[in-house]
Amino acid sequence: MKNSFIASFFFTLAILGAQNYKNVEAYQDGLSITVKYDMSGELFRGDQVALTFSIDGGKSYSFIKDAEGDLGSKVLPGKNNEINWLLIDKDFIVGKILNFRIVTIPEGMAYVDGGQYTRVNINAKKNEKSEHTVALGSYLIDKTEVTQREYRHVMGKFASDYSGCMECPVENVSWYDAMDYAKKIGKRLPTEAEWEFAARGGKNYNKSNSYSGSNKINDVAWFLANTDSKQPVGKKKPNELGIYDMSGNVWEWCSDWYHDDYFQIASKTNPTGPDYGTERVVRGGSWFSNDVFCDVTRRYKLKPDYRDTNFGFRCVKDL
Amino acid sequence: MYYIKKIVPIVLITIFYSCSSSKPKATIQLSKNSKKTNTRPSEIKKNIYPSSQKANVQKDNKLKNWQKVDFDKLESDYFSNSVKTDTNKNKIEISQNKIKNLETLPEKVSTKTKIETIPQLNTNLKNGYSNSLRVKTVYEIATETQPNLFLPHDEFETAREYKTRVTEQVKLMKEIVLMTSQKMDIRNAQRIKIAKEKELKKVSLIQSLMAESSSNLEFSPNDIGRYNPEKETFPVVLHDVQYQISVPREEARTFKENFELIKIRGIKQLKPRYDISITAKKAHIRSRPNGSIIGIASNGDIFEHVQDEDEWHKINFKGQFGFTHQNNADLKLVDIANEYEYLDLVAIHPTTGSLFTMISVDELVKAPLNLASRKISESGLVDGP
Repeated sequence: MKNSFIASFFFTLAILGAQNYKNVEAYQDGLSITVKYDMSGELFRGDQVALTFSIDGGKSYSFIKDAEGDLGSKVLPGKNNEINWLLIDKDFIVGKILNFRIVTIPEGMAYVDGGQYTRVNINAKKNEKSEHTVALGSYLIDKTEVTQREYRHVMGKFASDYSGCMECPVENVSWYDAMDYAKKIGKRLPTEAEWEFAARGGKNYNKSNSYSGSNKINDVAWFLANTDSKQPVGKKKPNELGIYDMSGNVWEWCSDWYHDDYFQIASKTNPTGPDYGTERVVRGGSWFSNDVFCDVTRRYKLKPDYRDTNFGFRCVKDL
Repeated sequence: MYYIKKIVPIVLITIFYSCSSSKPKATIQLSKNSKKTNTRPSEIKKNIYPSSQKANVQKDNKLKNWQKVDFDKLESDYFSNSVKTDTNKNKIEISQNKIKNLETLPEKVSTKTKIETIPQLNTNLKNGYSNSLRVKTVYEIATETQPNLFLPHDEFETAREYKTRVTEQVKLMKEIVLMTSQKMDIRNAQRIKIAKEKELKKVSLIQSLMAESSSNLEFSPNDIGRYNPEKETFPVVLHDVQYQISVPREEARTFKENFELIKIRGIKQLKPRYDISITAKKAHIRSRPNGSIIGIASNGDIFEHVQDEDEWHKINFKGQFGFTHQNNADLKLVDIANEYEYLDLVAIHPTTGSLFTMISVDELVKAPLNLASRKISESGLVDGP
């Protein structure tokens, strides 16, 4: 009896434990690359094992979509799991030195390949426009804004203004509430740069898109002209990375302090915002916003303890 | 004509490069220096010389794969890369030598060297990271496989011999492409087999843990409810689950009078936990059996199974209870819960020794079938979108 209890305890622990990928070995076999790895810790329901590669010495990793083998949500722990990647028609990596990384993508999150983008800063007061290149490492971001259901599940209570729509984004949450939520589930709020990079669709973004995923706001966003209240998440078209509602629905808190000219002095790599300030950045516009506020480049600021019916958030997770 | 078109540029390029001794040298040096670029020449060699049967296989639809490959482009890529490699050759060799040296790094090493090299080592040790790997071109692989075939054209070789050799080179490269595709197919089949074996192993582990946890049970009830003379049953509660003991009327009176002496026997074991895997192309998730639709699941989607209600699976659908019809999904044993279930329970009459079966109310009282659900079960159709 005692043994069975111990066995079941360890078994449950193994199932609940996070994944560990060890002895990851890549080699070329003919015109395919084989990546072998040992995995410990069972996947949570809906989580996925993914293979990424780097051609810049490990600075940034790109997601591989067409590999086959022990990938996806059905991978079981064990030794010598194997992934094969066919190199035919992949001239862009021939002759290059590659590094691979195996990662777990939790359910409901999108993988954002590291890369760089050009940030346009418009200072209305000074009537100035400036451009800055920002480089970011890879990270994971929630595909949707945090919903009422998720918030209640984690925090044990509704945010104050729950109106009966469990799949709608949580609102009436301050920056502190958002930080508490993120911390509780081992995530964090996105930096402003991470938010914008993901909203634009990552490193292969379409420069002509003003909104996240399209230039036609009605395709991708709930805003003042097409709704008079918040809407359930994920009902409009996603952007290039499969992320929903980055334009419209609710404004989203970012972790950065706000400063008008921050990006002129910011670090070009993984900027995390000014060291101090009085207001935090919010991005993306809301159901109560005009189309101009839903533009992916538009910035806004709020006191961190501010709460209202059109301010919510989504989380990111480091890899 | 096709081959001539393909071969002529290769011949020209090869003649040009054969005059320059640096290219093949650089390639061979690189591959020799790099321990991590583990192409397996012996394996490729074995596969490169297929039997006549294997040659016949080439005619199947897999030929399409290598036909897609533009050998001219591969050649030009190779040479452009080799030019790049030449300029970067020293760098690559240095970094590879560094890695090599690190493996045999002596104890007495300057701090400066340590600072430079430790990050490289750490990269390989981190959770999830692989070794570095230089991707070889098909030309390089072919050269490694049959070096003689790729020797420079010299003064003793006739033009005809050389042309034949180049034809062989192209053939070899095509075979490498074809063999790669075939190997991938074989690997996929093996992988499916291994996955099934792993799945079975896991299920058998869970079953053995359940069996190990199984033990006989005997106790007396603390209380017994009011007898139902119509159904001839006593209600009794065991670990928050209501059971009914079927006792004939003639023994019911003495059974209740001596209820403190009644013995209940059975087996208890850890409860299994199941997942639901959607097998239909699209399946409606409903708020209750035949209730309103709260979502749509796709083939392969997996949900936590809560319990069965009639011919419906009650599931955890995005944090709320939902129901999907049994025709749409398979049950998969995934774990054991941290609670017991009680099986084969019987109550023993304290004076007569008669055995009476005990059935949980959940099992006993089924939700009535309504028309829609009966229609589905009778027609055998899945509950589609």
